[in-house]
Amino acid sequence: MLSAYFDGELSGRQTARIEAHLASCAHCRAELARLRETQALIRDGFLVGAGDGARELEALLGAVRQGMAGGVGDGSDRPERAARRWGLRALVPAAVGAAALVLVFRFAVYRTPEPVVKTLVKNDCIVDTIDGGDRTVLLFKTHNSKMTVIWVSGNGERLSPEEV
Amino acid sequence: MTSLRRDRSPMIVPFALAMVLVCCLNAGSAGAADYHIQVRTILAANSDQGFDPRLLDLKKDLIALNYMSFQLLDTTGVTLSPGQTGKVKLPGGRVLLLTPVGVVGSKIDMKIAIREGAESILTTRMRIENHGTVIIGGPGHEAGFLTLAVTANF
Repeated sequence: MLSAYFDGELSGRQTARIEAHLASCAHCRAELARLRETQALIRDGFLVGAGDGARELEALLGAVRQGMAGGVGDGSDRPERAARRWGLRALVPAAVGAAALVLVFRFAVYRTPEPVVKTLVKNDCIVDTIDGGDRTVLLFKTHNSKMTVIWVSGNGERLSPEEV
Repeated sequence: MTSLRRDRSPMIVPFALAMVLVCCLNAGSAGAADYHIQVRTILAANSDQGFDPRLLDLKKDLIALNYMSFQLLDTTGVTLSPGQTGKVKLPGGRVLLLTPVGVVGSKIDMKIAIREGAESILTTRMRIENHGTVIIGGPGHEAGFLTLAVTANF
């Protein structure tokens, strides 16, 4: 509740109650003071950090400028050349590494997906079209393993199974 | 600008080589998607020759055809690419034509035809479960009837 009061999150009535309590409670007043000190430390710390960072960044940029100015050449295109050299030195190994990664991925990680094989109905078969010309064609499945049988008869050949 | 383009070429080379290699490997694996089809040519008859022990895995299904004897005449295996037609010679001057079309789910889409000279005895298109078998029979041969057990694998 005290923390919420400190952050200004309470309603007017609640704020009034807290303030009335603070007037009579030394412990809570001390706690509130600690909250304020903590907030001040954090705020100051950020400012100090930001200041140090800015100084460090400026020093770093100075060093970079100095290093680039000390390069080989007439000086007119030194930054561009230096950047190009740095880019090549960094990017060629990166490209080789990327190529190696691609190969490792292809051989060690990536596998051609295996076809899904349903083994529940081993001999499952769907006949889409069938044409026996002028012959009689029988189509049926066996009792045991539901194997599809296509039996062509005609030209005096006897019809076969009782399974029909 | 021109010099910058020239300087980038060394890093493009490894990438290009890697991509070409990967493409070649993928093309190779795609080409390996063949269909292995086994055809067992069986003579079903009402003779006293009994049941050929080499057909034991089909016994329960073959006896449903209500013949007394089943003899294995020949076993032929063909490996075909999608769209490729394989020919299996059958007794009596007949020929079995097998054309796998592709894979639909877990089944092999396949065209099967039996021809005797220029005459078409049977033309069918079916989808067979991988490792599944279909029996095609009927054409007369000697004292019985030709029965084909076609097993498809991919």
